[in-house]
Amino acid sequence: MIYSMHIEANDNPAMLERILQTTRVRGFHIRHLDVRGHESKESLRITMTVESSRDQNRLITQLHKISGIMELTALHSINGDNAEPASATA
Amino acid sequence: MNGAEYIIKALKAQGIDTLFGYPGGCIMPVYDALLGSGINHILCRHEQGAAFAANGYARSTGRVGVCLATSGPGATNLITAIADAQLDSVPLVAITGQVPTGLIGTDAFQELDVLGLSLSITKHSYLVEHIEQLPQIIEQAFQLATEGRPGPVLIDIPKDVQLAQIPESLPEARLDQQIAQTPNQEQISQALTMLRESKQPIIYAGGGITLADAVDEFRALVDTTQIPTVLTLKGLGNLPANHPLNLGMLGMHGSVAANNLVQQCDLLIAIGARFDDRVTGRLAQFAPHAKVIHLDIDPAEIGKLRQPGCALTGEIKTGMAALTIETHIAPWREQCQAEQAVNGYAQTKDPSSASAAEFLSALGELAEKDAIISCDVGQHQMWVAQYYPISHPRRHLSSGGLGAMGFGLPAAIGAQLANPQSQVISISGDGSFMMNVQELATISRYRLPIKMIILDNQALGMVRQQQELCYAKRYSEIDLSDNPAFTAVAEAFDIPAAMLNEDADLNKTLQAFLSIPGPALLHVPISTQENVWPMVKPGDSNEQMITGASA
Repeated sequence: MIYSMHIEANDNPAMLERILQTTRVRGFHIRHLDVRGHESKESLRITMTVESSRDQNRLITQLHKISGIMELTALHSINGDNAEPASATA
Repeated sequence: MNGAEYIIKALKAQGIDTLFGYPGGCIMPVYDALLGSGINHILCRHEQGAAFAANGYARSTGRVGVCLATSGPGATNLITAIADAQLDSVPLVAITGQVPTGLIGTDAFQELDVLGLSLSITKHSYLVEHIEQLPQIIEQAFQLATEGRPGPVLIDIPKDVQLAQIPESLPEARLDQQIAQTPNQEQISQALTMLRESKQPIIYAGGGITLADAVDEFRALVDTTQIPTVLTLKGLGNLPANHPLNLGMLGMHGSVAANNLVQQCDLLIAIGARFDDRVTGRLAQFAPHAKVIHLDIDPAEIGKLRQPGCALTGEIKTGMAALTIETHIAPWREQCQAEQAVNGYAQTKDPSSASAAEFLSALGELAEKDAIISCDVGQHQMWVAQYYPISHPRRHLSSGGLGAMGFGLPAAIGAQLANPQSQVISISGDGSFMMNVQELATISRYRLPIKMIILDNQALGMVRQQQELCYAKRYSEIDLSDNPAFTAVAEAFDIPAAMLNEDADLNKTLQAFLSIPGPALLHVPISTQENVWPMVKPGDSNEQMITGASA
């Protein structure tokens, strides 16, 4: 399955590394990553597409535990050619 | 006031009265500020010893343990004990010095990316880049270490930040108070329906009950529902060892009854437990007939390995209180108790030496009832879990998730300092004891009345056992027959020591040993061939447990 998610996080030292490490350790491969700084809020806006045979919730619940993640929204999941909406979490 | 002085002030404000550490170049300002501060600093002889001591302090009290080290090697030496705290959810704050900010990234002397090293072994970690951040980071670190599911937090502080003057006016620390989630009524109703429909329920209780400070509520749940209960290694003590519904530990070295009955149950109520592989054996075949109700504060544990029929996510006291109802399962309960009476642990006996089971049972009789037992890792750790009557989970310190040899001796130091009135006993194997043997110097310096026991089989026993059973007796690098004379080692540190001789009276020797007023060491030779039974081989189902030749 391929999953996409949007993350808004504090721009703390190593925040991006934490997200990437959690993604790797929990068994998800990154297929696309877009990171933009938001100067006035000192935050990062991240859009990430990952692939795994594991359920998306396995990653979402772990990412939620990272201190400094302000918002996390599952956008959609794709299985083969079939796109389907995923449940949003925040 | 400079940053270092502020750190000490902030630690005192957090109620920290004891620190465990080892000084070095980049943490020297903090050590300077410590002088005359009133905080009791315990100088361990290795940073790993300091961090395990802080870990033991935290495990035995539920309060935050704090350790201190310098940059580079000081920080790397903390890592094993911090990882241990992460895997066993122990509230720990580790403070490390770092090279001055201007030198970060230049490969300076004793510079390492400690923040980067810490990412996967901490609940959170900070690099303090500016002095203005220091107050808020320290506040947040202590909050994070204890709230929700506890864990370790690391604060890496460059030397120039420690020396910088704290601005007179600082923004007030912002703390986002996490609101504890509680199970909703719909989830509770579903769980109650599952419980009422069950004919053969079992409670599977883990260390999360201790972390939630919910042992009393848990015992009320068991006493009211009268549901037979199995415990994880970290859950031992949630029920008294002699409680009629306590079926013992489950899993790789669990009791035969506990494993058999879990395989037969129709409802498994998992409380503060995480379906660890050492518990479940082959996951797909674990409790195959059971629906699952899972109570846990950490949403990430729900469905991680076993999908529950009903999840009560959030603080577990609420969920347990809701499930505290009378049940009607007398036939099942009687079946469980009958099996537990005949199918406990299965110890073989080598007549040529003291058996670990006999020794630990005798120790359990003679030690104070609320003694704190600090274990190392290996066969002796499992024998303690099987045969020592643990009175309360905070009285049993054991490296469960990480399984870190070398844990026991320094953890006992922290426990003794946190509980000066308690009897503290460390039980090590000969391999584990040598991993932090330098902490004998710490015990001797502070005259901590820890009673140290070494169960010496002159081998890396757990590895030897697996090589015997899983690798066709091809023994590889497990021989420790050239161990030093442990009594002489202890005496070199001015610690009285004795060896348990084959023909000695076990009870008299133990009584004499336990009544020594200060620290003391007892060397207990046991057979190299003695194995831990029962055993589920790694990767096997719990139904495939083996019980040893003469079990």
